[in-house]
Amino acid sequence: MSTSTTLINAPRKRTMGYGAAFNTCLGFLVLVILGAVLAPWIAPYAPDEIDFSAIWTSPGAGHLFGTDQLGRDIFSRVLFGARESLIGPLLLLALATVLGVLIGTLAAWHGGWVDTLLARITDVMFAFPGLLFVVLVIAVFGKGPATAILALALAYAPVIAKFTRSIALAELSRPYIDAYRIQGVSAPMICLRYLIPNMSPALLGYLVVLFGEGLMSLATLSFLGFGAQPPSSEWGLMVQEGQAGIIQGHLWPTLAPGLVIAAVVVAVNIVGVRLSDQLNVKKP
Amino acid sequence: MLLEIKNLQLDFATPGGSTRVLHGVDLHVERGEVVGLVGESGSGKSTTVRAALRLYPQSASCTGTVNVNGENVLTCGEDALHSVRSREVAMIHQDPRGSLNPVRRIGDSLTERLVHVLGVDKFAARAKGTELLRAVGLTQPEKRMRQYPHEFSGGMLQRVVIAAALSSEPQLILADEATSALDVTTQAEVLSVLREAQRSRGLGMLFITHDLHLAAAYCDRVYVMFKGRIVEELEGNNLFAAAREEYTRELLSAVPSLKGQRL
Amino acid sequence: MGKGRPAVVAANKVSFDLAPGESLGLVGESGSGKTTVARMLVGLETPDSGSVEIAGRDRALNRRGAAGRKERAAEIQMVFQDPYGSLDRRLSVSQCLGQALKLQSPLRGDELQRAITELMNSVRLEPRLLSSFPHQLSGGQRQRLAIARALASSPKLLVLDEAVSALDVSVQAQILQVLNEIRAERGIALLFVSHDLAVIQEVSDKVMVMYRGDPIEQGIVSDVLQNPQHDYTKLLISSVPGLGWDPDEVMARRREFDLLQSVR
Repeated sequence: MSTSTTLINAPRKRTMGYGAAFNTCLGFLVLVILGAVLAPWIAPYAPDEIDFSAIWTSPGAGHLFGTDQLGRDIFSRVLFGARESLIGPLLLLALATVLGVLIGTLAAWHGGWVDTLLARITDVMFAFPGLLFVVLVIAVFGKGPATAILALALAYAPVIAKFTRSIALAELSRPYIDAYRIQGVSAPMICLRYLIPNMSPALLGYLVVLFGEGLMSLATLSFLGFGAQPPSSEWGLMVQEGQAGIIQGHLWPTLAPGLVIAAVVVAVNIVGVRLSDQLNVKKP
Repeated sequence: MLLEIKNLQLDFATPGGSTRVLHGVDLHVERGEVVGLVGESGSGKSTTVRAALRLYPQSASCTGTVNVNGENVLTCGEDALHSVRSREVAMIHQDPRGSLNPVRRIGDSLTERLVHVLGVDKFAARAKGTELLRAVGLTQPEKRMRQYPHEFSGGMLQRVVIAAALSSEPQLILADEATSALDVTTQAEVLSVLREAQRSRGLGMLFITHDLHLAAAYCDRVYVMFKGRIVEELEGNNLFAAAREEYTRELLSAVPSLKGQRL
Repeated sequence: MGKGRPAVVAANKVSFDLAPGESLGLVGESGSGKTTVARMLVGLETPDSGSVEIAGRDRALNRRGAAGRKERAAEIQMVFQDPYGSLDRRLSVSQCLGQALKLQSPLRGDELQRAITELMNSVRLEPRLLSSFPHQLSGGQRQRLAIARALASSPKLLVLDEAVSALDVSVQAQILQVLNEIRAERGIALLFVSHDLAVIQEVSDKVMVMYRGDPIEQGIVSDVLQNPQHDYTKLLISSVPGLGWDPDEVMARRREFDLLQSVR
């Protein structure tokens, strides 16, 4: 095609600073991450500091988000809780990605029975409620944050594998892969050194979006009592612990961590979608 | 005069200012004439043809005149432009699969323009579609109308595209590398069909190609384009012999020619 | 395929032999099987039967093991039609050539740099492009890089699958010239797969015409073009636009030929 035609079809150049929504969300996420890292220094109280004289205080000067049924400062708990709430989905994704990318790449490269097996497993995973599967794993291995992460990673792996397979197939059809084969590069080497790095922009964008989902799922498990255990201030667990107060009209212990979960998930999704657009637009 | 382009300049807005892609293009096509437009990729062939239908982004700025059958395309109103695009001119692209909806039957794609744009009733449109398929040399046109694009070969599909282009009874055909993706024998067949249609209807045709031998053999007149300019205008059958401009001669000398031809 | 000793390359019904520095054109329409033959030669596809021999050694089997792969890579290489798609977009010119060289021999430092420069010179790729990435190169430069990469293993046979079809005529002429030089200087045999008879005539000594998977005619290029024996070859030659070309006549010939085919 002539360069002039390319000009006609080329979308308007996108820059990182595209859109106020993107900037706001990115700023918010940076704040959350900073809060998590700096929690011991910036939190006004220790997360487990019980103060029976200040039970169920409303948000105000002393306690930014108020206090819970034990008089613990909710703002401090949210800050400290950010650590477990954010690292959890990271670990879960890391595990699921290693598994999923390996399986997906293998299926795309090998085809045949490996591919069929993967298709069957993903079909079953899609048909079977994910949470139920996770609860089953937890029932076998016992509850706790580690099991919750492991179980969710197993549930996420097929999804990532399926995504990887589809982009790997597109990548494998490009002749540079054939060129490597003719140069005498072994199949595992082509996959590890060339194929996977070339897929990583598309993969990374997808993983960012999955991060939001992972955070939600982990919080859900903690809420149900399968994930983080007291006295942790993991956000899902905080929502669950705050429930008792709702009947008595104390909304903040539930609302604060709930809103933070929602805001982080929305922000991650907005940033993730933009980011994957960016990463995939880099072709001439 | 059917198509007359005068001093056509086109600037694209780019992040670092504007880039001029057409530097005052002049060309014309008469009724019943096949005019070639040749040049290498990036020379502005396709851009010229697209600009002739005002197909460029809003941000681009275009000056000069483009007259299609007496209507100035660059300045006319939306209705007149729509009429030029849908009735007066038909465009044929390189990739026929890209021009036809893969999930619709050939007959529906073929009659769509007649029914929705020109307001012909469905039965008349189908009859006309069948007749057009026969005219472009497809056997069993009634059966073809019910088939899907994937059941056709590239050459057959390009004939369908030609039939669709002829359906609105245009005056001018813009063929942009219309046969470049086809095998040489298939290319010859499709071009034979296209020329038959063009001659019998007295249409004007602007034929864009990168194949200089083809331009010489198929076109009455040929314009040579280079970097957004028309550098030379030549008689088709004299293209190789009469070229005077240095660029044209260089281009022609780079083309491998088949020796020992014509049996 | 040592100097002077003819090598035999064969694949079932398709058989031809190629001496060092010789060039064979494989021509036919899409679906004629010419690309399949090329891919079988380099081991991207496995033939159902028959053999491919280079310098008397069987090449058809997809040999496993690092040594086997390396050995085959040093015998036969391929250049593809799509110059952009055949390059790894993450690798710069020097990385691309460096990796290809290192696969064959453990070159390092200055030695490696010298080998890279030499490869770039042999395809006339300007040294200033050393750290450019594929998306920064023109179509012609990309194809030169692809050829240089193929030369990194010093192959004896280079298969070019429609390697100049996507290029502009002037760029095409330059690439053909580079290929002719490589052939003359390095004694590499070329197998030119193309639908374009004029291009094949430019770079090949011999030609094989394929039709629906069968080789129907082969011989010295000028003989075949001037005195074609098979009806399909005649049709193909008369289809190429040029002086005296008449699409109506080609169409009539094609009809006649198809009719004959259906009778057989």
